[in-house]
Amino acid sequence: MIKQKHRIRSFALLLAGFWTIAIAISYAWLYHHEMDSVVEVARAEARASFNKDALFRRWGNRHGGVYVPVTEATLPNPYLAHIAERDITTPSGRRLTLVNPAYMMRQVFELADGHGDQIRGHITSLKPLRPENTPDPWEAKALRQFENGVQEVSEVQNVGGHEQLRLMRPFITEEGCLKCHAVQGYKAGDVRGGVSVLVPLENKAEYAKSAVVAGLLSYGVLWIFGMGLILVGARVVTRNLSILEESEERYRTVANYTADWEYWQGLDGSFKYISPSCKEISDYSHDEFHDDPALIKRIVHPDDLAAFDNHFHAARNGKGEPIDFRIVRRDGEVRWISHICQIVYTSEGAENGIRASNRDITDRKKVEAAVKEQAALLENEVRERMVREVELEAKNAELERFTYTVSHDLKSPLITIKGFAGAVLKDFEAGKLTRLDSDVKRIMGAADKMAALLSDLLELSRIGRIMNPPSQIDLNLLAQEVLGQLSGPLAQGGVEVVLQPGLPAVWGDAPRIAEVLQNLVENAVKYMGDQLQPLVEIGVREGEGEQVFWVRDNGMGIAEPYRETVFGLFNKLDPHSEGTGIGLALARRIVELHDGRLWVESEGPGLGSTFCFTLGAKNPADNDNATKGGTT
Amino acid sequence: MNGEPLCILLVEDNPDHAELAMRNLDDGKLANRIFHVEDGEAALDFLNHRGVYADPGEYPRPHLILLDLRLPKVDGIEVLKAVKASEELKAIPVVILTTSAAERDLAQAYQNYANSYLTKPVDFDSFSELLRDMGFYWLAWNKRPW
Repeated sequence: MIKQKHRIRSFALLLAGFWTIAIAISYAWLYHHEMDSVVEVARAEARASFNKDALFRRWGNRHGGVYVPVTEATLPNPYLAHIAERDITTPSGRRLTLVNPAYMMRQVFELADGHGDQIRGHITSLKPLRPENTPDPWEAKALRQFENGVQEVSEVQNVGGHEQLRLMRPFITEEGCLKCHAVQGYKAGDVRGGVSVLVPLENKAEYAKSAVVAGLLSYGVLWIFGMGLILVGARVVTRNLSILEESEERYRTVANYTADWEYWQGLDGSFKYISPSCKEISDYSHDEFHDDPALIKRIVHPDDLAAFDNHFHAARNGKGEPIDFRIVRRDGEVRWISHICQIVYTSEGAENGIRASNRDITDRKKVEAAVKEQAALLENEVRERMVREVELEAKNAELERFTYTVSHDLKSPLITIKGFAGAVLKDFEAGKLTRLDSDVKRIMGAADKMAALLSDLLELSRIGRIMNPPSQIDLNLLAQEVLGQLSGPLAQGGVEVVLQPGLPAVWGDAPRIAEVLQNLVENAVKYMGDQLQPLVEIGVREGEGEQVFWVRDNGMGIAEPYRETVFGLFNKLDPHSEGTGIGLALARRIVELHDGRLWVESEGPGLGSTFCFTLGAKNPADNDNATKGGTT
Repeated sequence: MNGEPLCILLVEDNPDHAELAMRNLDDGKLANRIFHVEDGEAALDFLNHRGVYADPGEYPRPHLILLDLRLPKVDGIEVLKAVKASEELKAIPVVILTTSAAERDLAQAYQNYANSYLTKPVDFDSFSELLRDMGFYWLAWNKRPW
């Protein structure tokens, strides 16, 4: 702003200087013109006077002079003594004498001598008839110049303390002249002499001076007026500049002091404005963007470039939705930008580029990401907790069922024992010994049942706690071992066993998997019913993304409503069958601990059953997160 | 006590318990006939005269049902529900006789209109007394509409 004001002042000073010089030059010209005109006027006057003199003289010449009465002032001219009839007498006796043009002129000139401000002439010649007419040195010089063809000589001279114009012209010899001057050897056409005229300049100079003074006044007024205009103009311009700058400062302050990166891009893509905050956000300066409008596109993150381009084209059509994209700063740091823009228009309504705001939302994005991560973690935790809760509920329910079952099933033999012991005692007292034998057997049976139950319960409780680390198991080998152990019951029931060769290797706790197979085969043998050709098959089939192992029998089968009941603890479909009803519950427990499932398929009673199971356990080396089971 | 033969249906999977119950009921000389079935399915077949129990003369409608809760195949509660849901059978008094003293079982039984709930005492004398008293109450003291 200060700089601008200085410029205006310098310009005003320059203008004032020019104005002063112009006025001065103009005035100087006026002055010189006036002064010159004094001399010119004087010169014109001198010429007019000379010409008039010449006319008079010529008139005299034509008449060969004129006769005038002889007076004291006009005596007969001694230099014309050689002229006949120089003096004549009129019939009335008046004496007249001849006056030649030169004499006449001299007398006229002598009349003027009495008045200082009158034009005075002086007739002269290099060869004057009259010695008084001898030229002074200036006249003599001029006369010589005339002889060389010069027509006029003039000069301003100070004569007797007065400024005067001195002008001299030659007299050319005419026929009439020769009457008097032939004696001197002149011919017609020769330069006979000259007349110098003195024009006093003082009067004219007075006029010129007053004109010059008037000019000075008017020029002075003009100069002052001009200077005033310049001054006022400079002031007005300065004030307008101040207003403009104040307004500009207001807008500049609004635009520049912003945390967002603001810019205005013209129709040609060049930046009309870019806020200094671009440096803070992008690490590239305002000037760099100005010099290279394509820079902004180059710093967009490559992954976001397509979206940015799409937005850019849409924005040109006024359809640019706000977008978020990343930029790569000069220092390599990636920042998130929230970009919003619109088309701007001139006051005439023409499109005038795009006005955009870029906000640094890196922190917000980080927080969002953190929140999202936190939410995901929380969600995960909630999910895990829910899973755990469901597991826990299942465990609790299982535990409750277990407790209930145990209390019921263990109490049962006790009732039998005490009941029959009481009956035996009563019978014994009454001396009735017929039922004694069977009652004691019942007591023993119940005790055995209880022992078996306790042993099975112990086994069941151990499963959850003791698991061997998983190893790769050759199922064929394992199945053969199991069948070997069961060779006794199998042979007793005459059961044929078919083992599918090439069963896949599985991962798991080998002794437990053996237990499962053993239970399933035992179960098949136990519920063979009245099958005459008992057959048990072991094999594998492809299920939905998993391998399904199966143990199939052609025994009594299981009706649909009991296909789940059979897996309940101590559940037996046939109250007379051997065992405690724990086998299938145990097998299912083991399979579940291997992340698998155990279920039964059957066509119905008498059509055999197929017990199927999957094993989800994997090589722990493949996946550290694989559930190893037995962790509860 | 109108001389009509009184029948009891005993549903009990444990043969020893069934024997004990029958002996005690016999001692009380209350019932003329005691029919014993070992599971819920058989009990429902008996009551509905299905399968081997098709003959109503041989297997009449009982005056009292003694029902154990833990039964193979069809559970005791299911049998109770079926009886009480049946227009024909729901009037028959059903006495639950079980080893379980669990509250859940007790609540479930009454929820399903059991007429009485008895827990089998471990002590022999108590067991005998319980069955005798129960028999007297339901078969002697209790008035039946039929």
